[in-house]
Amino acid sequence: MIFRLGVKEFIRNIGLNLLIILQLAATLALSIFLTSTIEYRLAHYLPFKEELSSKGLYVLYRGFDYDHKPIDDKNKIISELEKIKEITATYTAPIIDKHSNSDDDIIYDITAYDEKIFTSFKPRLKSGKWLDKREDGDYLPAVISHNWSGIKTGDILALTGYNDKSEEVDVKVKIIGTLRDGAKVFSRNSHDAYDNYLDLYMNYNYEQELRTTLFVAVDDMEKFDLSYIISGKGFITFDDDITDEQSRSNMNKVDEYCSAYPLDEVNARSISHITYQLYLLLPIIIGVLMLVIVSTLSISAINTSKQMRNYAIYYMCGSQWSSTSLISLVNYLIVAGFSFVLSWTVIVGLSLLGMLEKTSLRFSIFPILACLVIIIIGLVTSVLTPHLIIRKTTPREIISTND
Amino acid sequence: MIKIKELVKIYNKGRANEFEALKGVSLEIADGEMVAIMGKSGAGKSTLLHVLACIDSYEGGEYYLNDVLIKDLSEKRLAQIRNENIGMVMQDFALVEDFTASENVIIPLSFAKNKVKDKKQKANAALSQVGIPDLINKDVNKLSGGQKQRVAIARAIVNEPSMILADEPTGALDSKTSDEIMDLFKSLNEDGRTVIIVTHDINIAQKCERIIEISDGLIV
Repeated sequence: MIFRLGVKEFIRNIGLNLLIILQLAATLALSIFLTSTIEYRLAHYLPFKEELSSKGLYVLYRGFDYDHKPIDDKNKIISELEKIKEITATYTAPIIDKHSNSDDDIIYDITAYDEKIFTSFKPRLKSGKWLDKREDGDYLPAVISHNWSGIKTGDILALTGYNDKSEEVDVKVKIIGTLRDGAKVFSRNSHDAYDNYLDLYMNYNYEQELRTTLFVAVDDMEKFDLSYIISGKGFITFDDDITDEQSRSNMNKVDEYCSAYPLDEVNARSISHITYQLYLLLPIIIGVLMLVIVSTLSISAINTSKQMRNYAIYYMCGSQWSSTSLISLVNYLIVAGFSFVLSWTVIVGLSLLGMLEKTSLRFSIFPILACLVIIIIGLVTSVLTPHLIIRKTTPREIISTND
Repeated sequence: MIKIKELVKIYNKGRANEFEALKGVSLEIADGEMVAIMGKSGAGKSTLLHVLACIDSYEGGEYYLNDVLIKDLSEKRLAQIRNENIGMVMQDFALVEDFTASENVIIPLSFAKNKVKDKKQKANAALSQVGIPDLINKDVNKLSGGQKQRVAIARAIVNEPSMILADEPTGALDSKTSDEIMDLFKSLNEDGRTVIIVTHDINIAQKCERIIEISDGLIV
């Protein structure tokens, strides 16, 4: 009965409720974007939180040592270091398409990662899948950057690389995914800043890079006997029981191969940066919460006041005075349900039309949870408000007033 | 059976505008009686009716309904008593205007403690009993005063309560319709129900078996 009365109340106040649905849908949409923004801020910290909060070094591999010899062996870098837990790196190599239709061979860049890196961070793709979902086979699986050559997911390229003896190696490369233009990737640049976690990444814009890049797993390069140099960003993490002296010694010893910065300093600046970003969003978060509370409060108050006579009639017929809260709750749940569907329909629709590509919108569990939090806050308000109003009035007073 | 002993009702107790509406009312009403409670405006008759209907509480004395002391009961228990034992009819009909006649009559059935099957059937039977079977699906805001009051009476009897309480049930009706409504109350009383009617109209009161006069919060 309470549910039916709630539905009737919703229909009875349909005009007002439609306005509330629009308002709440806008609030939910705002919370979706807000959560996505927060998630976006954290999305580039969390993948490497373990490394950043470890003892160790954030390194920018140069690709060549002091003698200008290419660095292609991680073990050589850490051979003289103490208490090493793990070393991860970025690798680069050229690879050529000798069978292209143009007069000259086409050179592609290979950027390769250790498994730890490509499983931790997955860039935004236009199509296909990232390296963590690759399958073993006779092909070298690769994700290609946005390109003007028309190469797309599913294509197979017959390319020529080089082994560590500089001999040509023919290899078939299967494109398992295509990077979205402008997507953030784990940086292969060795000359960037080292301020905080954001510097681990670079935005891959084809127009700026001017060369097509194939992203591969370094293990696959070794499997196909392709050589590479260690160039770009990475981490060297130490055991927890390393002493400060050993840390400093390690840092000095790697200088021949890379620029190195203590992870704890980078981490501290990273956390500081994130905190500041969240602090900037705080007024909006507070504003959204206040909007929800105030609007739900006022609408519940208006609805309850309008329905007081009917509540008094129900009371006379055998309901409890406290049931008014439940009727208000049912009305609110219907409003919230429509608002939720409306907000997500609009956002998903705009996303499918490609209108939200440049935004930080993310479809994950967190925006949904944010919407649920907003709805629950409104729900609590919609239950409490009738309680507060009916406390001041008795059914007898309402019945007597209407006599 | 209704037993009231020295019933006291005080409004705004402890405040500057404290008012003693009932000052120690005692009376007994047997099962199946049809009683009118008469008095001038402000005498306390509606207050007495509201206490009998368990819509209002009281500060002193005792009220027994079918040997159950109505005092300090839980909201849930009081709601059950109102639902099962009492049918109320008001001067302004107290109908939900957006509902049909049938939907209004179903309200008490929907709040029953035990789930009621065939609610629509029972509601329709009650509407037939009060003489308006053809108005079942009509919106009450399209009905006349007399028809509305019949719907209110149907709602009051649908749960088959032992007692009908009516507060100025003919106050908003013309004399012909008033007579029809009073005849309806009489027939319900003849079925064995206790009927208590609050009225200031002597003509209405004289149609009842007994008249209880109340003045300044006391039985005269």
